[in-house]
Amino acid sequence: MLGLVGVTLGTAVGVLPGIGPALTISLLLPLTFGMDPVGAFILFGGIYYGAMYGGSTTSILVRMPGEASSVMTALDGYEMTRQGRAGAALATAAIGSFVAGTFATVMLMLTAPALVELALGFGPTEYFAIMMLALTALGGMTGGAPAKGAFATFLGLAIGTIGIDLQTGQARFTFGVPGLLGGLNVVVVTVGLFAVGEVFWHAATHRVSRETPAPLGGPVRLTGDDWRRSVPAWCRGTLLGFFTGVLPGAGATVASFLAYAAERRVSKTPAAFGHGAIEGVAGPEAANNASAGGSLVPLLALGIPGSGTTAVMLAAFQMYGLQPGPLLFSQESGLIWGLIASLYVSNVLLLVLNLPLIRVWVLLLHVPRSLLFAAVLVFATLGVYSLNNNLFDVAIVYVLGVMAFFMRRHEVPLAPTVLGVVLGPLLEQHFRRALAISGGDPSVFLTRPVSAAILALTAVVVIVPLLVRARAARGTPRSPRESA
Amino acid sequence: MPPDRRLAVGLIAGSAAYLFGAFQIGAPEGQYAAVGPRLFPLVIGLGLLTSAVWIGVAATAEVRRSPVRWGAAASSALAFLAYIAALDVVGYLPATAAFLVLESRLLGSRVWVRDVIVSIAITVSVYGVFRLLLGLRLPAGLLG
Repeated sequence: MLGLVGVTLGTAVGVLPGIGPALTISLLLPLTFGMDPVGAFILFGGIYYGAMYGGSTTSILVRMPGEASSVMTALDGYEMTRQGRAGAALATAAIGSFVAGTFATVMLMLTAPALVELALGFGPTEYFAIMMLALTALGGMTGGAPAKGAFATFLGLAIGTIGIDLQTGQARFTFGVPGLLGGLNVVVVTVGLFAVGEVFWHAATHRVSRETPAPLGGPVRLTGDDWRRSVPAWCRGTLLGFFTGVLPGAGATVASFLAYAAERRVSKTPAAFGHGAIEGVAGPEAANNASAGGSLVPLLALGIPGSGTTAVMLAAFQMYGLQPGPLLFSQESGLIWGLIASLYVSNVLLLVLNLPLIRVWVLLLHVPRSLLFAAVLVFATLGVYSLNNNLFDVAIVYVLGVMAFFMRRHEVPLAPTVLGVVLGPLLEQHFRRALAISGGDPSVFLTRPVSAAILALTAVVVIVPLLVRARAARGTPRSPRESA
Repeated sequence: MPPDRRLAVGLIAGSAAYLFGAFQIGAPEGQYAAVGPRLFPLVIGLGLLTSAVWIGVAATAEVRRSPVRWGAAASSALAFLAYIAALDVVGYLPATAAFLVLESRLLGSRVWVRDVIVSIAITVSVYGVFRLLLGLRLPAGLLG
């Protein structure tokens, strides 16, 4: 039931441009406070998968991608619509998403326990190393200038240091304000950066004109030729998407770009791409759904998010006093398996719900954007207010919203900041715990093999993009903005 | 001066302030800790400073940005601030309904009657969900 609500809501936010899964889940966090955690996560899982699918509908019909991850779908999807093949494009996106989502969930089920097995032997040293990897990977891969990604990450870490130091009881950066002693609530930070900042940004940049949805031509089904061309594209997209999703920092946008590039490379008729090639829809749509499943693997097995949306989900776990990771798998296995089961159900629901309901989703585009964004501000305010029943948190949301506006203005990515806020305190604790165990000897990070290997990988993640950039200093195409 | 360089100047100032704050953190007395509460903020402060300088150095003159309507953004931000302030004074119901009408107009809506009706509908249904269904407390104010 909650899965149904989640999928419906997820598809709706996927269809609506500017409102992504990270924003929706952060708005819902305060509302689910009184709910049972299993229900809340079933809801969030449905939203995540639904949003990945919903973005395709608007890309195909109006060439207006709801999410960064469906930008590639718009290229060939909209062309197909203009040729009167919108039905086939929507069908290949829906079935591809289903295939990819199901496969990714199976893989999640198979790989997560194995990873847990490995992670049980991890100490603070290893966790510190993995968190360093997640932070550097997301900071470096969000596109745009690497300096800005780095600054965004440090900014998040800096926000994370506000409050009482857990090990010594020393107050840091509180300026004598009692409301800051407990640190900034992660919910407050995500709502401020994603929701309020987004509305301000919308106010400053929205265009008054609106594209009208193209009429939905043709039946919603695939011909034999479509199937023959779609199936291999789904499979490639799924595999590529899942593994891209598991890597911290890469995420759905990168996955869909890689899938599109791969389809064009293996195609016998690369010239057809951009002119309505069905593989150009099937591959990227499978890839972005598969990457959503893939990104849940490190979140559930290690407790380490690799993207904006999973960072918000980690915040949700923390809100319930749960720390995802190897222990959660053994202690709260009901929760984990409930979540995984709900992902299967969500997938089936997506397929059943969406093929007949495509016309309804298109109607959503007629909801006036102005009222929608005004309502987002109200939800943000009330949700945050109800956390602690005080307006102080709302004031912080306001400040962060203004900050997010200027970050958007200067093309500084937001996702690394949220990840920094979530991981910063954990990073510091693990670091200090590791040193306390080793008696203050910092070489412990390099002498334990797993931690040394991960830190070496982190160094590679930092250095390689810099070298690539230095070599191709001129004429580099700009990457799209951060993925959700 | 390229816009990113101006940005960097501001960020360097902010980073320096953070770093200064990090130096102010006192060390705890008589407790054993291999690493005190100061190390992380210091490292983060240095990181902020370094990346801010890096932004300045990497700044190029080419500017290709979508135009931003500062007036619209500022009026939205002010309306929202006024809303937060009004919540505690006049209470949830009137503040929210008035804010929704105002904000949707600021965001470009031009259909008065529809906006008013939808705003009141949203206000009441949110009240129902939060207050009656979930039992959460909303700012009461004078008229709440």
